[in-house]
Amino acid sequence: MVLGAYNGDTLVDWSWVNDHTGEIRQRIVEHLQLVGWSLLWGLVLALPIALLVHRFHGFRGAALGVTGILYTIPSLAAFALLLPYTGLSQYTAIIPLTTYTLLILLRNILAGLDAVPGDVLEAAEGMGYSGSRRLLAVELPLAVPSIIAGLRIAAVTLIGLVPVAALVGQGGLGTFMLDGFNRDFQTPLTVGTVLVVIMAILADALLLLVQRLVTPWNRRTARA
Amino acid sequence: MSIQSILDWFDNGDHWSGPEGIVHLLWQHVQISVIAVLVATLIALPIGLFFGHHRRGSFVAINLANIGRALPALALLLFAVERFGVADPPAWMQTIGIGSIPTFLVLVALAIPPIVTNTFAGVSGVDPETVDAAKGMGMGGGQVLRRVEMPLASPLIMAGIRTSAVAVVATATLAAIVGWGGLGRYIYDGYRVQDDQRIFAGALLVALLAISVEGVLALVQRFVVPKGLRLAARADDDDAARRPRSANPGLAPGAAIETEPVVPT
Amino acid sequence: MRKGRMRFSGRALGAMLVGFALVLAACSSSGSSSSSGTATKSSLIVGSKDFAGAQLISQAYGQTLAGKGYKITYKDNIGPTETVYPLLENGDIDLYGEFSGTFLTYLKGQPSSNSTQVFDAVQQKLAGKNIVAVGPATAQDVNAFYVLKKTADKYNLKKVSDLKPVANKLVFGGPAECLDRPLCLGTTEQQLYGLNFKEVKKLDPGGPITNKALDDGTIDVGLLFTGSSVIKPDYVLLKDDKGLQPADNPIALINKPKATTEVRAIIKTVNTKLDSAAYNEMALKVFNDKEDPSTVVTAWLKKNGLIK
Repeated sequence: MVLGAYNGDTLVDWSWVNDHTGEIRQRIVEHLQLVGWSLLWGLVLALPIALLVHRFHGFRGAALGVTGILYTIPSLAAFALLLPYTGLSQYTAIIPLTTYTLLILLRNILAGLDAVPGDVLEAAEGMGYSGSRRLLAVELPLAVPSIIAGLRIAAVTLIGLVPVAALVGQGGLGTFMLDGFNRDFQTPLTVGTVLVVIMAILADALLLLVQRLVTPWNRRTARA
Repeated sequence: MSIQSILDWFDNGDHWSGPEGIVHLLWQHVQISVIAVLVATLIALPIGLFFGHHRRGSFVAINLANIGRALPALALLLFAVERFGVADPPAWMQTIGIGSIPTFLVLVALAIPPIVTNTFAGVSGVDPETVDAAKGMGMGGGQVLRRVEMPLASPLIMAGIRTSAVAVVATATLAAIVGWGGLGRYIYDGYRVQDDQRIFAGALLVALLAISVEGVLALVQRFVVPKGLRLAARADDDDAARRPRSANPGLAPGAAIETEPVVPT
Repeated sequence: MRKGRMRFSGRALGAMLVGFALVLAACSSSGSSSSSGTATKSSLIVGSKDFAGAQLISQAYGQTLAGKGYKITYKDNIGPTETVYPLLENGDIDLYGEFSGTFLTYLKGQPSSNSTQVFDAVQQKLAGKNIVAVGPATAQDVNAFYVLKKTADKYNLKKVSDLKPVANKLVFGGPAECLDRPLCLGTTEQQLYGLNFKEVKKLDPGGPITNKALDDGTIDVGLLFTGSSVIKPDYVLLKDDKGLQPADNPIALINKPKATTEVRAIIKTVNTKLDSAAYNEMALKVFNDKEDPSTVVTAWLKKNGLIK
């Protein structure tokens, strides 16, 4: 196939964007699904682990150590190794992405639980809360801001990581990046990248909003 | 894939030598990571110190970390390759360990934000009374920075560098996708030919390298951080040094994120 | 007061999570329900390898089937044969477009330059397996070694065997799987031609990285695809004088349960029309005019009366 010199390529060819609104929507949904399920699974797993570790301090180092090691596994390797087992199902991406959220969430949940002031604990004790009940009814709610802060970090991290999953056929906005790159076509690469960044900023802002809504008492006492 | 097959892979002498060997690829990986973190530190440290010392630009510093994390490494790499191509860098660059210009640039770009934010947080977080006391003893601005603020901020600065270094080691694996080397070769090539042993070996080497980098920098930290601060740092625990208690997000929404860790890749 | 608020916070978080899960579940089910149609015709998941030519043929098969009422879901750009074929065997996909010679080599068969022989050999290899091959089309898209014109002039290169005396001065670039595939280099030394390059760079499957590297002199010899890579005017194709590259024609690989007589017949109608001219023209549109493979294929199928 003989090709003449390829001349000029604008950053975004808007007619392409117009022609691809359907696919853009589909890729955004795929991207959000991978991020959303991974966050949800991450929270479902990290929360009980954190509560256990908080009660039984002995396992703290082990839990942080294991999740820390999981964190160092390169995502492409994890996707590629899962491919023969999970195939093209979304689990190929969701399983590794979930493991990445564990360290972030675990750290934040523990930090939130640790930061509950001693006098609050004593007061709770005085009111008859003890043991697991105190943990669930007093300490955990107080740790919510920290948990959501962890979710923010995890969400932004995953949104930036999902493009790699496009290399193993998982779809999402990374598909545009790779397609644009493979055809020396700037528009899809730019569109994919910009949408990922916007998604990350929006997710961060949204979770910040949630954080403020669920902790009205913190709004003005931010630096207290 | 069994443990035995992984051991066999490592036991094969052919996998250690030559241009596709562990020695060569590991060395490429280490070199480009080291130079990228060094250059990023040289750029980020002065910026963080300046704004931290003058207690200005906190908005920028905090948001820089967020934006840094939001930028997809893969996209940056694709952009960089489009722009700079895959030509071998000039000899002098290769001598100092830069084997691929686009990879190097992306790694530097990803390594800067955590160092800037942590340096800023560390320096600007020094107790104003301590600074006043130092000034009262007749120290000038530069002296305050060098002899008071920098030592006090050193645990956070080091934490920032560690965060960046680990992220750099992980991200460098992506270079194989765009035709360069490093340990990512095993992962990407292994994927292309469905050789699970190779992928696993590559992942193991990258993980070990990341853990070693953490370890080495933790050691460096021991020498850099003044004795009096070490106890405090330990109370924070080496991981939590990046997420100090005081950064409880309940306290300040922005502050919660300013010292967060590592991007897996 | 504080206690009440804490409860509020805990409940709000819980409610948020439940809501979140519901939204996700809704999204996911809407995504998958499209493939569980109750139409009389079955549904097929069509995969594709990760270069433009492969996408074109997968699209051509998929769209023609869709035109006949089959429910088609596409999984584009998955990877090389080594990745995609196992997914077909696992049933993750039902059909994809392959190339006969490349595939035969993957199955450890002995390819030749005769299209019919290669396809027959593929059929034999697949005997006993749960996979059916339909083809071949006459279009050819083979691996080939390219050099810049100035390199060709400098070393007087016309055919691949001319590389032998100078290979140790030259840098070779090809896909990541090159050293594992006999049709590329196979090992660090190309056995058939006895080529021992100074260095082998692993770049991409006939894509922009190989183009860039060839253009700026990072590599001297590049592996590109004759039918679906960007071949610039100053590239010289080195003639494959010893016949390293087998006949490499488009074929469809289908999971047996899905390969009904009708499906095979429909695929055959596509293959009879798919010649090199059509294939090259489509690839050109994808690279040069930046059109989507699916759009390009739709236009071609319509022109040939394969879909309405």
